[in-house]
Amino acid sequence: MPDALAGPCVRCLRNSTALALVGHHLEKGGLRARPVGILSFSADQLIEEIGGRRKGELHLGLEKALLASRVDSDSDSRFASACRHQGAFEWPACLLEDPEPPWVLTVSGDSKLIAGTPPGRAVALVGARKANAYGRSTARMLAHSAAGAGCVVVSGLAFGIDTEAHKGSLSFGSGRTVAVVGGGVDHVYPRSNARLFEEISAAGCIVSEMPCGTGVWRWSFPARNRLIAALSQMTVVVQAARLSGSLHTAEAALLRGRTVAAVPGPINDPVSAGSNALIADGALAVISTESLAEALGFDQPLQSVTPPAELVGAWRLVTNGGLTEALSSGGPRSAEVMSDLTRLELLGMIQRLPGGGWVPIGHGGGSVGSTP
Amino acid sequence: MLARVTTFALEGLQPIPVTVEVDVRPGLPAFTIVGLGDAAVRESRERVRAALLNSGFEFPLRRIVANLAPASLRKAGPGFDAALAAGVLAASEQVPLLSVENTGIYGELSLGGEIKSCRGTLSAAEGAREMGLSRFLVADERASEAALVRGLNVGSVRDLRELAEVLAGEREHRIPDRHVHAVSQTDTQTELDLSDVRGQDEVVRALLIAAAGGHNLLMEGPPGVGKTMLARRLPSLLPPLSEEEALQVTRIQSVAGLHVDPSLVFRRPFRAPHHSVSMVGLIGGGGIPLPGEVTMAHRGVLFLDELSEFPRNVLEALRQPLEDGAVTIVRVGGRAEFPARFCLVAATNPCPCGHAGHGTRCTCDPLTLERHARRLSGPIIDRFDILATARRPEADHFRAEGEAPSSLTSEQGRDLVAKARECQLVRWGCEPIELNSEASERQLRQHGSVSSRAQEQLEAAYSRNLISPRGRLRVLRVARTIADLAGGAPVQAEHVIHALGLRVRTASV
Repeated sequence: MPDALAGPCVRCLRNSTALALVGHHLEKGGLRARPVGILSFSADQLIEEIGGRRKGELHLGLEKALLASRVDSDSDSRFASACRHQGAFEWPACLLEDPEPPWVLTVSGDSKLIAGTPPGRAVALVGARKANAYGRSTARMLAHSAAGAGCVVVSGLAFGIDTEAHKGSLSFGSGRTVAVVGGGVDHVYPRSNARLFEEISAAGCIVSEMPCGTGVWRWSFPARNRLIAALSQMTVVVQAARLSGSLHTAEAALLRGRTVAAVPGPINDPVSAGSNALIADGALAVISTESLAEALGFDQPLQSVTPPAELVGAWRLVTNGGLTEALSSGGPRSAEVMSDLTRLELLGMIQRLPGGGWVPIGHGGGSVGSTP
Repeated sequence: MLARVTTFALEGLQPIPVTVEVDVRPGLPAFTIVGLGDAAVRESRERVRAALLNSGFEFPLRRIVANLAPASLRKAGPGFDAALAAGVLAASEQVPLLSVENTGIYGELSLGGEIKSCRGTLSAAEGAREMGLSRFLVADERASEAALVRGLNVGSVRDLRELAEVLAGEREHRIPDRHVHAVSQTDTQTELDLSDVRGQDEVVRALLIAAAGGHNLLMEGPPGVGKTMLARRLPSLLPPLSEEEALQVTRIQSVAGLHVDPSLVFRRPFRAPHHSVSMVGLIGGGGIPLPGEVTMAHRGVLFLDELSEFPRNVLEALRQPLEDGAVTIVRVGGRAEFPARFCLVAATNPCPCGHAGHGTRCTCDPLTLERHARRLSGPIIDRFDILATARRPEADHFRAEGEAPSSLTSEQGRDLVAKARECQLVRWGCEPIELNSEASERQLRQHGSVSSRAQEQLEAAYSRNLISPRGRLRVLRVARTIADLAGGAPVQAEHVIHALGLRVRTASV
């Protein structure tokens, strides 16, 4: 049984601390992509493998780090840690059979979102950092409606799709979201997402397999990606170029027998090439919020968006295209469209982008259909 | 012998009377000028000497001391030359000593003896009238500028010879023409017209609103769609300057040395400083304060192209003049207050590559985008009432023969703006403001006449957190102007919607 005050068992803690300790050696050792297997090495194995001539030094450092971390975790109650044997929360059921499980998970925020068998379904929304407006708005819309259906949205707190996925989930009043990060749960990366980081640890949770105080290395991201896939029933690649890191997430999901889905994009846009290729390889195509609902096993479609009757025209322009033409065509029509867009914005249904484009932002919570 | 001649120094736009006292007495030949002059004043000695000799006068080989009183005031520029020469002539009795009494003389000398005009002639002439001088003699080229001052006897003289003859009473000074007329035919014809614009209805509407209510306008759009071209047409929508305003603008241009045509300036100024402008260049300054771009744009338009490229401290410095309509500059050389009531128009690309918000054309990465947004969201962005998007015009707009049927000419626009300003004049009659953009929360509540539906709409937007308290006031002001353009009836919900659509969205997404 989980013990609210207990941490992970000593063995697991030792193994995970060792991983953080040799993190930069892994980087130097040419392990840029994915340290296959190494993540589940025990501390002694790891030092044996990596240490070379400095094994003694590393062993000493490990004991010191363990001592320090024990003092820290006693004094810091903001974070909760657990391993598969014991800890402050129940070990996630979805990690029990994992081919490459983490030794320890540390959580900042609501650990119930991942602990044991979580109440809702978890869906991972991942994608490129360098996403375009289409990708970002799609991520936000899907996250919003998934949160509306009671799903937990899992993502990686990176720029672009990840950020939008978290924001979209939070934009639904009771929406909760899990951010899996590469460094420790007290290490805000990227810095500019600091506010989002705070919001997520307040309304959802931040998860990491690394001890507090650990930074990020290049290998931290693919390692984190496998956790995102492992913690979700389904992984949706919203937008990814070829060779994008989010394809690692899809791969990890497949390895674990989870559903992989992708959002189709224009075939001539390199930023969507990876997600399109996934569909070609047999991934589920997410072509609407309804199709996402179906894939997640909901009978009813996720709450879809219906603007008030008089604004349907403008809404279609935003969702189906043709907006630019309507706005630059001139005449009284463009003035009308502009004011309809503002009304939609007031309803919280769309959002203006820099440069004068508009994108849907899911739907506006309870106020859809009501006239302000 | 001691002669006294009156001339003028400038403190900002204000003329300060300066008495040039010239004392000529026996002694070793010398020519000294005292009274806190700058390099140009010191060099004046050589000009005066050469000009006198070349005009066929005698330069007294005695001890000459000239004092520019008040001695505590720093004096700059060559404007004292003519007065110094006249002083020397009078003190050496080459013209009657009494002839320079009660006469103002203002001008620079060339070595050949010609009298040249210099900056600030209009201000100096106003000073002359204030002092009640019986005549004011200036160079030919700027004489009609001085003649704009009513009730002043202005004489124009070409060179030192002529000046001496006028002083000696041997001939009458020439009386310059007075060019005071409303905007001339040629003036309106040469102005850029709004009907040249293809498409861009959103920006044209925004320009009308900005012109009607004096709102500050920010234009956003990809490169090459005509943001600058649109901004240049804003002055053509503004009503012509009143005579008093024109006098003020002429005075500023005269002091700044911009004034070419010696008649009254009725055309609204349009200033577009490059983004490399320094703070002093924009706000004004210098050892002896000179007006900056904000003052040169007084009663007109200040256009900042590529807003995000302007240094932050320069934009920061714009806030105070925007708020107060004037700048006060204090320097060693004195302090000066310059008026600076202008309409601020700025243009910016939505992102560094310029194509953000339009599908896949934008190639900027998220970090660059964020940096760009942060540059813009700094000190100045919340001073804009209106954000309008310039878009690529459709191909049809260019194909159409002649003028597009929907396009508005500047003349039609000017009429609309004039009517809207009329409404405002009536509304704010009892308040110390003229335009909606200056109205405070209280003034709008008392005289703004906002319908209850409109109020509800506004509060809905506010409670949805779409606007800040400051943004709320700005939206209300713009909505008031939109209603004024529509005839001055109470503000309706649709006016508020329109104003909300034009608001500047500051929160980065």
